[in-house]
Amino acid sequence: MAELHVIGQLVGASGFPQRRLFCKWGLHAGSAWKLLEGLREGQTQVDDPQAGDVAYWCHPIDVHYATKGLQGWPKLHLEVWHQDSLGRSELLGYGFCHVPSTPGCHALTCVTWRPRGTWGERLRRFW
Amino acid sequence: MAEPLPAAAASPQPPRSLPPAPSTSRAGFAERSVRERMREKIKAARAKAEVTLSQDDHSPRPRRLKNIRERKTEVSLDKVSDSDKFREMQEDESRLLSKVKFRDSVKKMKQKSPVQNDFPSTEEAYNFFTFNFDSEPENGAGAQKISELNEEEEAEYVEAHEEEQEEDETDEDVRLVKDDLFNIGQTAEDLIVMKPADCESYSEQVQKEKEFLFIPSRLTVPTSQKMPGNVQPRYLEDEGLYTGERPFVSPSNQNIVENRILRQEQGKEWFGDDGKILALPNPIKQSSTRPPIFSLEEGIAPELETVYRKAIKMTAANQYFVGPGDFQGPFQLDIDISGLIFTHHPCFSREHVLAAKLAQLYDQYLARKQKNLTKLLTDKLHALRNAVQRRVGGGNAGAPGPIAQQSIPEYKFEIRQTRRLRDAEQEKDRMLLKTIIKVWKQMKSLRDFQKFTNTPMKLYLRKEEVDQRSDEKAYEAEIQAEISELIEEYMEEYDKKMEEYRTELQKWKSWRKAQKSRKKKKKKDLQEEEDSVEDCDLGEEPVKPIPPKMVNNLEIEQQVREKADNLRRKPGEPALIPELVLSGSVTPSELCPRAEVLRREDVKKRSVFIKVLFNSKEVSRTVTRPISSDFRVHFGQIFNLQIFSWPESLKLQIYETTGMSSTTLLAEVFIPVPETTVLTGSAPMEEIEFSSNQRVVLDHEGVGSDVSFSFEVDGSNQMTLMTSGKVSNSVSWAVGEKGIPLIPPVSQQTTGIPSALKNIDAIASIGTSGLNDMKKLAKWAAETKLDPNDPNNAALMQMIMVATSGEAHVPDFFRLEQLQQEFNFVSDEEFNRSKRFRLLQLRNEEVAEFRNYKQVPLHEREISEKLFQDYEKRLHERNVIDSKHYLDARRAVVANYLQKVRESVINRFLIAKHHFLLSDLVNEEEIPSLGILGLGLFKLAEPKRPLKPRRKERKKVTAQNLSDGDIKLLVNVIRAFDIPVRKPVMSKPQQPSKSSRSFNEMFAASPSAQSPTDSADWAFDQVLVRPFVEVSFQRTVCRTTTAEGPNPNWNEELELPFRAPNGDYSTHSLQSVKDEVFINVFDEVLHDVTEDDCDRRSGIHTCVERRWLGCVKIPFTTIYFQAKIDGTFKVDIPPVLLGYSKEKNLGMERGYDSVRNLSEGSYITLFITIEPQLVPGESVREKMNEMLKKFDTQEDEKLLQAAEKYEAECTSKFPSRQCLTTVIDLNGKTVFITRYVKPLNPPQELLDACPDSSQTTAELVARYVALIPFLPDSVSFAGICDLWSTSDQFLDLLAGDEEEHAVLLCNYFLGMGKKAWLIIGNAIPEGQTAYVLTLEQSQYIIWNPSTGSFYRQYDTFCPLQNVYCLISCDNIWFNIQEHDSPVRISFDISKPKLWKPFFSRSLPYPGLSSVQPEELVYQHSDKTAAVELQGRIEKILKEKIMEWRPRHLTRWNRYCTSTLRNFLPLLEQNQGKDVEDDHQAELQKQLGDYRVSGFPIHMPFSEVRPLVEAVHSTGVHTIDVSNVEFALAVYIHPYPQSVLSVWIYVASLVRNR
Repeated sequence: MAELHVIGQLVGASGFPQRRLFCKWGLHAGSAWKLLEGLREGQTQVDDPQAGDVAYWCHPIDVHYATKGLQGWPKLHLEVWHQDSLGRSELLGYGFCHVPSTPGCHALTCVTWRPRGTWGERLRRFW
Repeated sequence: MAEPLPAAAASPQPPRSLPPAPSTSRAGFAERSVRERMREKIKAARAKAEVTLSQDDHSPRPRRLKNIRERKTEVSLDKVSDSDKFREMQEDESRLLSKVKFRDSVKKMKQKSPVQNDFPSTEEAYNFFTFNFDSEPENGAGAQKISELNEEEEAEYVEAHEEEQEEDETDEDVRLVKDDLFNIGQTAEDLIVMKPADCESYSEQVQKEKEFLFIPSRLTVPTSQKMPGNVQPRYLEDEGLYTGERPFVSPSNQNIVENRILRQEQGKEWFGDDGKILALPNPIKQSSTRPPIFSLEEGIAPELETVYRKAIKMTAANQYFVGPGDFQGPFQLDIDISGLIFTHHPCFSREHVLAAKLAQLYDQYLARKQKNLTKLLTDKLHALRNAVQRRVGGGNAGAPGPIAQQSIPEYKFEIRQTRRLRDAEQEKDRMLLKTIIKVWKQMKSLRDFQKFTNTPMKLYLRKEEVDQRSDEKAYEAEIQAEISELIEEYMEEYDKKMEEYRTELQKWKSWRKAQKSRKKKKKKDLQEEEDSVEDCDLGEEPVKPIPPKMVNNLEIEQQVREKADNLRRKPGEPALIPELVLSGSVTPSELCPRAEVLRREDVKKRSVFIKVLFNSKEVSRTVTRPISSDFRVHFGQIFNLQIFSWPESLKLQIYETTGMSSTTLLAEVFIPVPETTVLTGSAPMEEIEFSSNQRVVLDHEGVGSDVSFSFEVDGSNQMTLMTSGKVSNSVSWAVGEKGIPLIPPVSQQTTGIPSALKNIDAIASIGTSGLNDMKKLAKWAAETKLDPNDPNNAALMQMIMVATSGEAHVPDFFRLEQLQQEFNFVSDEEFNRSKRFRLLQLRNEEVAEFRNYKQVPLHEREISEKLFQDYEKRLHERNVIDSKHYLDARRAVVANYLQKVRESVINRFLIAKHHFLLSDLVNEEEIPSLGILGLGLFKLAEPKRPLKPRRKERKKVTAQNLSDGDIKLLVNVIRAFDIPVRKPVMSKPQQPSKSSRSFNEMFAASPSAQSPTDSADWAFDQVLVRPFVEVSFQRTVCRTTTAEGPNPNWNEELELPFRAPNGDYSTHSLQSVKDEVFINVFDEVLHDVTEDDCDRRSGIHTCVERRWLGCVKIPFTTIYFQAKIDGTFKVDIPPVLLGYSKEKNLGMERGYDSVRNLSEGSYITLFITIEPQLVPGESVREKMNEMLKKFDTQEDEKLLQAAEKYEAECTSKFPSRQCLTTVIDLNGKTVFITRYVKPLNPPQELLDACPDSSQTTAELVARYVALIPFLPDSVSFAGICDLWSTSDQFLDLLAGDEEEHAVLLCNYFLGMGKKAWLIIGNAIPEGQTAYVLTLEQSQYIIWNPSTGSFYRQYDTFCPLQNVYCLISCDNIWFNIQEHDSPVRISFDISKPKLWKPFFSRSLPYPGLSSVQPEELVYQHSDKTAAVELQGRIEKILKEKIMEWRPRHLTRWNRYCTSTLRNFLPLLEQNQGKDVEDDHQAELQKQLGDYRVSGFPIHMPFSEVRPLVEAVHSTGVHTIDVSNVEFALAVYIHPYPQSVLSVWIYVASLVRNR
């Protein structure tokens, strides 16, 4: 029987072609893991940085797991979305990273990607 | 905390001054105490150090330091195990150890340092988590709000501070400690001798090393050494066993290991049979699993390059899928459907029936002829006979062996068997032939009869002439042979029987003899013996056996000949060979009768097709072919089924279509799945019969199906035929391009086999079917000596192992997380049993019991089982109605129902709570603009006016970041009016006898006596009453000082701490606080207890007694929502206060005279607020309401829109006034508010009580409504929302809040024909509430529905403060006047300038139907139940009073009790108003000898608990006089619909001396 506290925050995103980003996140763990407290998934606010490239969310994550086995160590799934001026949301990328298995403070960088799509789809993204 | 500085670096430093304690620190006290303790310790240590220093003055510090350094170098250089130095080292160590020890103890003293130790001990952890960081008392008022998060942070910060300090202290300590230690160790160190370091030559060193180091050689170890004894190495690989490839190890390394192992004990165990080290096969694959990727595109990493691949359809995502390993592409099954022949069809004519029969018989004949069993058997018989003859002959020539002798009977037996079989076959042949001929004859006659032919069938009988003589000879010989054999057989049988007969006869004879001899004996024997002998003889009396008959030869011959006649062709008779040909001509249709033509046309219309079903799914179908006139259908189609796995079933469905439309399923035929050896090309055509049980009746010549018909003229010999036929088809496995049969592996269960069998031809050895047979397979595996080590055979071996061990269970599922079970730390049960996890989860789910549970213990053992007991009990008993706590079963049901409603509402609320609005999260304070700043600057310049203080706006605090003790309730008791005054008799206890006598006179005289304008005598005697106020809240009690007179002026501020339930200061929890603030008014009575006059002289001995006069109850929620309560409240004074009278002090304040006249009673002016001011959680409430609105509604969409618009308009103009248009009913549906208002009939009983006065009736009705218990929604529904129940629901539940009371009262008034409206407004102390307005004689009267009292519009003491809207049954009016106080507004709703109507000309009233029932039905009051309840309550209350007085004897005065009991119904009759003073006087008279203090309490009945509380709050039981007696009487008056009015009279009596 072991417990895992995941405390942290989604600091922000950078390097995306658009501003006005928000992020949907979720923690996924194996079947041996039981959520004791906290929210497993959520969504950040939209940040529209006035200056610079980085969109800051500082979205808190505070999850408390209990586990009976080490398999299925929790992973953080991330989806970065862009909200345009008309309020439509568009996926800019997704990715995942493992929750670090050593205690302490870790700064994680998760690279996101998305399928490029056919030229038609790429064309449609302009509208 | 950093480690203490290393010893060598410790230098004398001036002791640092402690940093000042942080003023904001919350851990002030605790910290300080620790710090102080530390300081003391340090001081002590320092003193000690000084003492030791002074003692060892001769050793200055620098030298000591040097010593240490020297010692260190020595230690590091020392390699030689010099005994001297070793000792020194030991000493050194011990010293170091002691130092460490000391340091540890220092640490322990501090009891903490979670940062320093990575793993705090349990005690430390416990302290850390449970330590309560109280705030310092100084930072009370100005405490800034700190979020809970902040709080923690701060706590940490404080700790850090502490640690810093302690660090400093530790440094000091360490230094001191060192001083100590070095001083002690001084003497030993002085003896150290200095020496140069020894040096050894390299060769010496090597030599020494050789002594204890072993270096294994790199030479190859001879095999003989590795093998035990004289065993020759065995190479499994050479023997043909699979060994696997060994991982590569360089030979030198291998040699080293081998050499090393051999030196070890039992080292040989490490070597295998082949003399090599045991090794598992190399796990590394030859080729890499992940081949390198070469990118085609530049600039993109090859791994990230996306490759477009066309979507592949998952063809076999079902259970038939064999497995990816065995997948070889689609397999193919060829189904060839060549045709269909009907053996019977509804359209058959009679002739067809016969023809079909004939054809069938002929087929049978042909089949038989092909097999020619008769011939075969005859030949066999001949052969056997020959053999027997030869045996017998041979036996004569030589000595017949015993084997030959034995075999003869066997042969003979065989002959008999064969003969019998042949006879049967011959008989069948002959019968068949006969029937064929018979049917043919029938057919011919039929054709003659109907004069046309339908079938081309013709039967020719070919006669085959035979040679008569030879034939006859053979026939005769056959018969003779048979006869002889039969005779022989019979003879044998005869012999056997004869033998049997003889033995039987022998037995019988002996028996007879015995019988005779016994008879002789009997005559001699005695009587007694006779019986027993007879008994045993009677048992058996064998019959005399009959000798078997000898068979007659002639008889046998006759038998044989008869048989031969029947069965066989007569000698010389030509052999008949039937031949069926289809050469006949069918009569054309024109020549046929009409019925036949119809039939033929019908046949032409019909057509047939066949569907092929694979695994009961249709895969293909044949073309539709018409039925030909001879009822044959030719398809000739081949279907290739591409499949992935072994088929479960193959099925053909035969369909018949008639004409254009109807298609009927004739029959289903299952085709056997072909064996794996059946391949296309070699598969034979098979005919599969089918039949249908459909009943078809046709109106033409066709015989139909399942219809009986007959060929005979008389209709006898009926026959019924079903549609039936034969499908000729063939199913086979296709052969692939390379000649490989496309056959899937046999079935799911034998998944592993086929791959294993690819190379070894198991099929050849045991056949395909054997693959399914485990035993056969195992046998085969054993026979072929499969190598069990070969991975190729692994699957098969495992299969066999499983099969032979009896556990033939192959899991038919796929597990995602393999080996999960094996790697688990704990079992599931244990995991789920964990109390800590459960507690955490329940807390997270916000289950009521655990919602605000703080600090879940870290260890299982610290969580007690009890914690869950309540919760489990609640879960368990959710549906069990516990009538124990409720005296009334009805109320128990109601309480249960309410509980359920509450739960559902709370669940909705919890969902709503996690729905955050922007304002919940973003709390941005406005940045002060220049204008505001300027104003502020301007204010500075203002002249200060200390005599005109300004009201400062208090800062609001959001409730969530508060903790216990933060919130205080401030009650400012200002003044009171018209407190009841003591009757003079009470103030003069010294003259009891006189008072009792003169009571009436006194009473009569009292008004004059108490008039303030009266003489100084009154002034002298003015101790009429000495009231004080006691405020109790959450069991905390505060009181004011005692004032004097009936109009006291206290002006005192009382401060009461507030503690939220479970320490939860969240908004919704505060909203649901049920506590009430009790403001009790007491009279302090002093009376002298001194016994006699001599005592009185020596000192004063008075007893202070307090008597309850009345109380005001204000619920906490009201204060919370209102933020402050400021006003004058009517004190709830019992109608009768023994010994007190409510006299009017006229003339004191003349200005209030008129008011006084209007409202009788006592009043108290209060100002109540909460410090700090809390923000009521309106947002949650609104959100909830929004959510509830979304739930569902049956209202018209347009109406709702209009309502929203109306509300928005109103609130934009008057944001403080609430506009109510829609409410939520008990089911959570939104209902338009006017639907609640509807004239309803009040109970008839009340109307009949005072038929003449409408005023009293109205009061009675109001009282009735007020008697229904009050249960605020905000309490029951956690301050979330108002749920409005309809009047009948309200009467059923017997609980509701102001709205329900108001609605019911309004409906009653309407029902009584009054003009009545519902007022939505604000009142004190309820807050937002609903009142009722009536118009009577051009005067508006405001009714408080929850108390039943009424006020005129201009009544200053009316609790209703603001009027927001009026609601009638057909409209809503919103108050758009400037003021909203009822005194200052006009209630004339006809003026749209004053009242904004909802339904106006632009939006006419649509005529909404009411949600109220047509009529209320009342249950009659149950008097007996009331009486019973009365008794029970009385008993409970008496018990309670005794319980509250644990140290005193509680005596009950029966006489007084009975008096009081008689008195109570009168009170009820008068509705507690203006109780006749006579009764009081009477009571006084009757109990003249006692000092009585007590009063009746009147309450609506809901539960027992409030009654007990009420009695407790009066404090009657607190009297401490030794000879006190008590009286308690309960009276319950039942009203219809079990509304109960409870009167409790409590009194304490003290006998006057």
